[in-house]
Amino acid sequence: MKALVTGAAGGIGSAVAEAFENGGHGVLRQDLRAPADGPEDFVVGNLADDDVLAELSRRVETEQIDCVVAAHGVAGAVDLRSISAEQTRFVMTANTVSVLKLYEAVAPVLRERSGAFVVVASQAGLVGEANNGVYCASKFALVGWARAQARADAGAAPRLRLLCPGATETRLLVDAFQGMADSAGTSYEEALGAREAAIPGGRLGRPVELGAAAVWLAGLTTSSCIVAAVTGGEVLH
Amino acid sequence: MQTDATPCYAVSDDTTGAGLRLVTVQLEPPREPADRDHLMTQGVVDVVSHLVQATEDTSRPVVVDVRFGDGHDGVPPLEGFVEAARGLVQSYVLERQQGIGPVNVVVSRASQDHDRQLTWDYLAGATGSFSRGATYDLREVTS
Repeated sequence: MKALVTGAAGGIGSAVAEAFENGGHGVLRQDLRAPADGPEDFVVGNLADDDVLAELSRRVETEQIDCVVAAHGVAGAVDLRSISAEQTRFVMTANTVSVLKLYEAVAPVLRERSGAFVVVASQAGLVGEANNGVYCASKFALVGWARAQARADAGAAPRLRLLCPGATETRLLVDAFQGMADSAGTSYEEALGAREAAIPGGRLGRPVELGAAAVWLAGLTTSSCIVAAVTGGEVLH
Repeated sequence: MQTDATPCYAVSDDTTGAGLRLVTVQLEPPREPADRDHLMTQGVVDVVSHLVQATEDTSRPVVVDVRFGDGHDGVPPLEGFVEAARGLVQSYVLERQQGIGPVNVVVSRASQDHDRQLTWDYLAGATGSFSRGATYDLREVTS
């Protein structure tokens, strides 16, 4: 298997890419910026840019890639009365529209190869969260879209999978908790402590655990749209 | 009534005779990818705006009334939008707690007048207010 991983400079995306490599699979990485100590073969660019999508589509086709993991995303933790129209459009574009466009760009080739398309959504795509409404909407939309797309494809590849991480130790989470704390008038530490207390597993998730889940999902051959809630038990699905 | 309309969705406000505030979103399949992208971005902006405005009057329950043209459900981006509305309302109910009245989502096909009205009557009634943040999808199951 060879995988394209978007958002590969991020906390979960980089762990997903490493997990594929550790499993003996090839990986092509993409993100807005390449990490300073990252691999040379890194597609740098914005998925909102049609030229970047065309480049990824071409490389998926020519490099025998048979799995795409959409692991990119942005935070949007602002209460619904305060969030601006501009920020709402930005979050929905970055988290939702870009995934739909990526799917359109790579699905024909993945279909020929019986490949997989794994969407890293969020537990915030399964249950709402106060002071995080537009982020939730962006992830809920992915869940609704993927399920309907799988039904529309009627069992044809690419196999769609949804990985819904719970609170995971990443920079994105720090930003999200800070935003939620600001909206709620509390501190980051209070927001983090309250969240950890609500997780039956007693701790945040680790990126390596999400990487393992992505590799597992990509390897499944069932045509069902699998939804994996990897949340430490905080959200049961 | 304020209406925000585009090729594949229209958002409008209304109040039923029973006093239920409606934020009605009428959905049609996107004809172009740009329509879909607009639905997923500006459509969410419009729902947030109408939702926040509708809940300013805390004496009336609010329903986000998502309607599909008959035969148009199952279209992936439209189903994604329904889930976005579900996520928005869940989040908003958790966010505002008792600072707003009941808010729910009702999803139906255009032809489902009976079930839609019955649901509105329940939600507008004195015994319907414990439904908060719910999504009631009234559409028939199809294969």
